[in-house]
Amino acid sequence: MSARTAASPQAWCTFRLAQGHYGVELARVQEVLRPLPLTRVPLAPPAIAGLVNLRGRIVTVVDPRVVLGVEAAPAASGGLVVVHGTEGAVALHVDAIGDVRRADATEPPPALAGSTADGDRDAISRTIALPGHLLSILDLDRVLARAFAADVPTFRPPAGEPRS
Amino acid sequence: MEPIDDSILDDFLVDSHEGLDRLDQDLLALERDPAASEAVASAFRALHTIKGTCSFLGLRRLERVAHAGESLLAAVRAGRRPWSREIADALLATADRVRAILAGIEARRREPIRQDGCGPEAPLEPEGDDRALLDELAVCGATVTRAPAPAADAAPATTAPASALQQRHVRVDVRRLDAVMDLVGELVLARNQLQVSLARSEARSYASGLDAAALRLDHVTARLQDEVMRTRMQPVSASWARLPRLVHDAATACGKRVRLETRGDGTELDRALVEALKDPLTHLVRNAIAHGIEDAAGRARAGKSEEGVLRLHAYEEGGSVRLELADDGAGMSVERIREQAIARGLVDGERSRRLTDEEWLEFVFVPGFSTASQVTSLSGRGVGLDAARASIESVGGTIGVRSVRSEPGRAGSGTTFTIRLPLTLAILPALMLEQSGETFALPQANVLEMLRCGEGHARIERGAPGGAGSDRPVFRLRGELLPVLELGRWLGMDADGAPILADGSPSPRHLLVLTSDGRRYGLAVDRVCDTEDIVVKPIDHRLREGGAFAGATVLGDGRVALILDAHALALRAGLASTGVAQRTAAPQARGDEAIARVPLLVVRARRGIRAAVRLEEIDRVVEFESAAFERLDDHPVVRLEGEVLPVAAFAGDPSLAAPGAFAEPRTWPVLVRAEAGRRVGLVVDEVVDIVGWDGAATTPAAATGAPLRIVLDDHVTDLVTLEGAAA
Repeated sequence: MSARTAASPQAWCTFRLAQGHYGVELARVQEVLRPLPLTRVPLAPPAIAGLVNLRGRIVTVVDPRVVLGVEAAPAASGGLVVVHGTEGAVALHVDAIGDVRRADATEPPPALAGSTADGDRDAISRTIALPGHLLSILDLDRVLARAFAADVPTFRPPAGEPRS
Repeated sequence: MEPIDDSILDDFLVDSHEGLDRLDQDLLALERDPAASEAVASAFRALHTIKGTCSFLGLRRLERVAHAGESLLAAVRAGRRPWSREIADALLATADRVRAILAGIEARRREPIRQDGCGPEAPLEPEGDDRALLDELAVCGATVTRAPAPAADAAPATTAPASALQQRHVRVDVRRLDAVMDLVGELVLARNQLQVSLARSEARSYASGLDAAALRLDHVTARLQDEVMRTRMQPVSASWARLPRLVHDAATACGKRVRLETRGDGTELDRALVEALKDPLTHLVRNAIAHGIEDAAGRARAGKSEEGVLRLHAYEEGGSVRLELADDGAGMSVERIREQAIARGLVDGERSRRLTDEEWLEFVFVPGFSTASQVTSLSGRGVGLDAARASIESVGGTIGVRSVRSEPGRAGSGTTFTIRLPLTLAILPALMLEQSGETFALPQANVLEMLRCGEGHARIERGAPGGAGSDRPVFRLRGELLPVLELGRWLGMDADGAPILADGSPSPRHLLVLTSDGRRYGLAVDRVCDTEDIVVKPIDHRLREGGAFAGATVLGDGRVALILDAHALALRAGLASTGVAQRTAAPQARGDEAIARVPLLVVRARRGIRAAVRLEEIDRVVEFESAAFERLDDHPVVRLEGEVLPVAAFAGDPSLAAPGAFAEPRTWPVLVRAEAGRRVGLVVDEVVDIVGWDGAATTPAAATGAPLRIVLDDHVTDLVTLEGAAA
């Protein structure tokens, strides 16, 4: 990917979606929060979970499950990972917040090609084997672009009524 | 010349323009009263300040012009020269020249060079040569320096008041104010959350100190919010600072005499709105002078004084600012507007019979509706009132017009434009709606009326006549079919489509009549909650594009609510293309073929009296539960948007003033009316309908104090004026 990923030292903010472990580049993370009251946005793409009030700023919440194809329903609790998107802050709705993982300079984690079975190849930039599980690193820009661009709106005009 | 620091130059330009506006006003004040020594001193200060700064910045040309004008004013001030028309003209010309030079400086970041041997040879600049002006000033008695002016010569020490004033002001970048405003918004939310937690907390009794602190925080926050909002505000007079001069020049050009009277100069508005007002006001004032006010002969024929009067009045009313620009001219001819509208195919024959005078006047805002040759009050220069309306609406305001045609023996003719603006752009009054469990905000500027659906109320029908088999919902509003947008269905929130037609549906539905781009349509929602001042927050533009939302706001409990965009909704519903056809498809609902002229609100008052009120006399109708009526000094009152609204009985009925009048649990329609800046309410039993009245009266009523008894829809109805009814 970009030069940003290659920059050292590397660190990722990790989280869980269903049973999978995922991470985003720590440098892109603004903060990590407990869930906030969510307001649905009718007519928005399915990956847009809604809007939250982050200290007076309205932040869009993206459900990465829809983009990654994770079928499981979101956990009731979970958390929000607020990241810097290309168009301002966006929050990822995740099932559980994990640790910050740093790449050990002396012992680089083995990077695996490909991605998890149910994941989307483009959305995962790399997969790292950690003791006991795999960590999928998200290509944040791609995930967000796809979340906002999804052209399958939940909205459909009622039959018989004309569209403009 | 050395380049001047940009920020210093910008400050200088802003200051100088303000000074010139003041100079204009002072000179015009002197024209009215040549003995106004205060105006001489003020005008002198304005030019002196400009001259002083010029000399500091090395702007020699500007300094020389300003110095000449200043010296003339000094002579007037010292009594060496009597005030005269020539001096006034020379000084106004000086102000214009200074403006022209300033414009050149602004464009080129340096002084435009003239051709009199002082500066290097240069191509002729558009600002031209100053010599003629300087000669004119010299003839009047000014000291004109023929050489470049000596640096900061002996200046009379009259600047003390001005500089003292300057010390109390600080220039602040608007972005910084915006940042402060955002922070205050957060503080308000934090305060709200603290209050909610405190109310829930069981430790409350142990921490009475906390309660007191929270109360204080509440108080301080509210004041802080108000003060910060005020820092962004400017007196509305800033938008009309140039009008006195404009009136003077335009009237002179038309060979008329026009006086401008302003009231409410101190009314404050958000600075962005003050800016947005400037152009529309200029349009309207020019129009009024060129076409509204008659020439001297015409005024003499109408029995008016030769001098026309333009009245500009600003005042705050219920969270918005209203501006009225009234001329005492001949008024607009509805007949000619009608001819033009029909000729242009804007309205068909059937509908044309149904329009009230007021509705006809609305056509002057239609783009390209320039009928100057026929309609005297309109501009013929293509200065569109549609442009004025567009810029007012773009900042969430509205503009309307009413006009009284000049007739022999009838006083008070003229045209009045009424502009209504929100106090700020960041905070706007909105109607809070509930749909499928979610809260939405709808800017009030888009809402025309609010109706209740269901038994005995507005009914939504399917299958519009001629709708080619579509089951598109419509409803009938006073005989006119309007398309209906069911918010739930369009937002995909109850896809199964809750039966909106079913009588006795569990959730009472409301129908809002909205306007967008001059088209009206209905919006059916679950529930209308309240009006609230909301803080508009941006949302991700990718959610706005093609969506139905203008932004979002934060509710008192910290949750986010989306702001509906009435225009986008109309587009989504395909109303934009079919709206006009729908309007003309309206069948005649009533038997009366009378030409509807004056819209009347028909109500049933207590004791079964059927009465009608001119719709224009009422601001709006609000329904209150019986429990909402309280007693204050033995009079019933209700609270409306934080204001105590005294409620009077209709038609002098004394029974409502008695205690226990509101014991029966029900809802009461209250007609709200603004009187002298204060609002009063009139409670009635029932609002029956809105009916167009052709002006035919049957008989003067005898007993009830109503001036006229008329027949409306085959019922005898008393036509009352509210001034009489509220007494």
